[in-house]
Amino acid sequence: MEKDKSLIEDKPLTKTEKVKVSLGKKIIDFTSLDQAYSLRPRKWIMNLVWITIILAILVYFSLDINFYDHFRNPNWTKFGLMWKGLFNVDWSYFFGYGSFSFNTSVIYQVIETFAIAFIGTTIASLISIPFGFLASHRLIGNWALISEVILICIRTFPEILFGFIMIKVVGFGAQAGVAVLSIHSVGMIAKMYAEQIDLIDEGPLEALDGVGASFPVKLKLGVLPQVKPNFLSVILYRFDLNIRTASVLGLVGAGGVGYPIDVYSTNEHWEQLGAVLLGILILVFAVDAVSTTLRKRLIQGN
Amino acid sequence: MVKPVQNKSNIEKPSWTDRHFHKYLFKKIDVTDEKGNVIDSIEKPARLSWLWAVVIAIVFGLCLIVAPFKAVQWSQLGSIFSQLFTPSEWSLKTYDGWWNYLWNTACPAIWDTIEMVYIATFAGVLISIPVYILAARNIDRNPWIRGAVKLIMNILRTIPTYVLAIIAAIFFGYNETAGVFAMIFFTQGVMFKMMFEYVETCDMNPFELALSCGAGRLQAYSIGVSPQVYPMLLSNTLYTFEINVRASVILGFVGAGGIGQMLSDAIESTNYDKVGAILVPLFAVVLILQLVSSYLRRKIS
Amino acid sequence: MIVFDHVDKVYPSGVKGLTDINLTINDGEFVCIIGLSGAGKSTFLRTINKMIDIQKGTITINGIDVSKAKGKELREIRKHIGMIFQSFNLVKRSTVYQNVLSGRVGYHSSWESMFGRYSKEEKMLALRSLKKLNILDKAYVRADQLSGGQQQRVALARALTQEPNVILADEPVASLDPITTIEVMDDFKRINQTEKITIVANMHHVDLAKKYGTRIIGIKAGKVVFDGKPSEITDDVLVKIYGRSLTRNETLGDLDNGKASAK
Repeated sequence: MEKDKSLIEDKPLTKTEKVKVSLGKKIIDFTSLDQAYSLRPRKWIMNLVWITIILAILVYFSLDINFYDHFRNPNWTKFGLMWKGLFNVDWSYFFGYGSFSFNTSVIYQVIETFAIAFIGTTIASLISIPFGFLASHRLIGNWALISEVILICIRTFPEILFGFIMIKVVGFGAQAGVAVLSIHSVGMIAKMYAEQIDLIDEGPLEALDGVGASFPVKLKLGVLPQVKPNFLSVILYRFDLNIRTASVLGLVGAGGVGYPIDVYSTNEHWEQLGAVLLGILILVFAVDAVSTTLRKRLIQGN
Repeated sequence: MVKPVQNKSNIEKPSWTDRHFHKYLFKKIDVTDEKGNVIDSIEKPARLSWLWAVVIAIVFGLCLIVAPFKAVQWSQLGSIFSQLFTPSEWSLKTYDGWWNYLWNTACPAIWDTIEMVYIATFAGVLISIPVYILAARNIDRNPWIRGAVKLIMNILRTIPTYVLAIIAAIFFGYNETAGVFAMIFFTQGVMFKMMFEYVETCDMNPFELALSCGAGRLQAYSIGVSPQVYPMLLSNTLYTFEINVRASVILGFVGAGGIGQMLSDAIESTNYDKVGAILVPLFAVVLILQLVSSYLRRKIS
Repeated sequence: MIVFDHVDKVYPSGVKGLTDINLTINDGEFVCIIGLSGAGKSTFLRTINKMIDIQKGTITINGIDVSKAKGKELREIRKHIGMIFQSFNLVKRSTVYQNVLSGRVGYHSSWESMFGRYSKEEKMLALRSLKKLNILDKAYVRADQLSGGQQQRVALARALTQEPNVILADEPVASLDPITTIEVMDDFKRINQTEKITIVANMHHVDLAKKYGTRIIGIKAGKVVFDGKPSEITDDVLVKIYGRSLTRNETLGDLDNGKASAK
């Protein structure tokens, strides 16, 4: 490309100085600055179109569910009462003395929730190992699709519904929660296992092939060390989520903290509700903090 | 204002556990020559996995005290599942009735739910944008603001959605608006966590450049950082949409509107055929949503 | 005209970045700053547009004190100062055109620039800057698809679009190969002469500085140890700046006929 010596003057480009321009897939010769200007891509039009569409849908939807009507009479008094009650936590309920026995205290429920999540996650992580391997395209090839479909179905099934069903099958209480979590978590854990397996480095496997290792040995020395920290990370992440799911399951009666919430909010026992909320908050915060720290250390290779 | 980078030394300081438990964490191995004389010795980090296994087993045992195993009646499970798809005499009566229910009652309710989720996700994402910008270390220098924002967002994320829904329902009444508000708050927490970490890892060079030629911080952000964040924003919005759809089912259970309400009514009156009729489109919608969302997200990356 | 008056820069740790700098840079000069890495070249450059604060003394540009300027006043000053970085600092996902146009942000308020409304004159100005650097054909190409030299040219076009009085360049050619280095330095020289813009540039290579600069400033440990014409640079001066004399390999190599010889 020859250097342009005449900088100051703004002459239109002559035929000998034609510059080829690539505008996406078309090649156009700019013959002057004006032409270059007129050929500029006008991105803002597309953006405007998208925004209008999204906003239009937004307006239509909000009218459809009567969003604005519900704004008119919010229940300020009840709301105020609720907040007052929430901050006057009923400590006897929280710790389980006075009119409440320990077995019905918030602390016990929190421990129960923790237990449900723990057992459920542990069982699920063990069951997921074969499922995860079966769903990995790397190891199985296209047959893995079958497992994947099963896993997706397990995952998409709404947990609460599952909780309800399990209550009918196993009875009220924590066991239903454990059952639900054990099966439902497999959906996510196995999928993540499969993803991790698909991501592993070929190198060590090839090296093992080179020294003539058999399949189980390759698995143990080649695959396992690479996937172990990630597996553990996945399990911890799912445990974190399961604590929340466990409390949701409690809502329908599968044990743990959820059940009282519905009762207390309908009957406006705000102090007890506050105690329960406090318990949930502490539990989730604590587990979150521990889980995040552990996961960070796992990634760093501890 | 740009501070010059100080080069910290890269020597790792031994952690608290390493210092106090050094004796147990490392095994000393002596290297000997043929005659048995020690010529060198190294330290090998001890394998602690057995310790973790014991801990887990103990915790597991403790948990079993609280939630002991009970016998599972598998036959019941099978019977319930079959009831899902068989119209019973007490509610829908015929297969036609079942399909009718599915199309004319369940589907519109699901559509209502999707509308709720759409509004909540869109509004929630919009509101979360300035929030996560405020919290990113490289945009906002004030550690107090950052810490406060992070704390609030963490709380919002930790509170289960249905709690937010109940609080909203008390204020707005037991209807969809309460659900929308609950989801908006929840979306804040979720989007925030994903986005602010990402923004902190962005390339700050164009930002610096814009600052140096006279832009304010906001302009510099929208010119320099925003184009980088944009694809991630879209991707996370889709992900949040998915999460919110699942959450909306739960919200319905506490009365905040949507398909969950119908589901809970049907279950409580043990009309399993209705449950089945609701479940099928719900399942289909969530499935399709997941597939579409992961396809789009892969395309964006 | 940029005037440094008894300028001191002290880091919070107590280390002195700049010590008692006194000099005046006149309009139209092409100043090259040389010195060891970490000697204070970048610091010196960045104090000019207040990217780095100073603790003592004043820096005035055309009579306005930069070191005390804040907020709107500072932005007004920075508007007319262009800056070129070693790592180009372009927005990779945007097109060249958008990158160059963004040089005009200083001229708009926050809200206007959020929606990207630039006037037609500004857009023509951007295109003209691109043409001046012979890169008009790449106007609508994504910035990360260009080579290093082309990206630096785009950065330069961007600086031109600001209609600046001064262009500061922090190691503009450090990450370019020898041939592209010459091309980009030629562009700098052209801009300096035809647009009459003052250029203050850091660089590693003494030969480059000698060839292109009208004035060389040597900085060692935060102090100015040399300030004069390229022809005045002798081996003694280099020892003063770098601590020892430089071998032939360390001064960029053979610059005959604008071609760098392979080492």
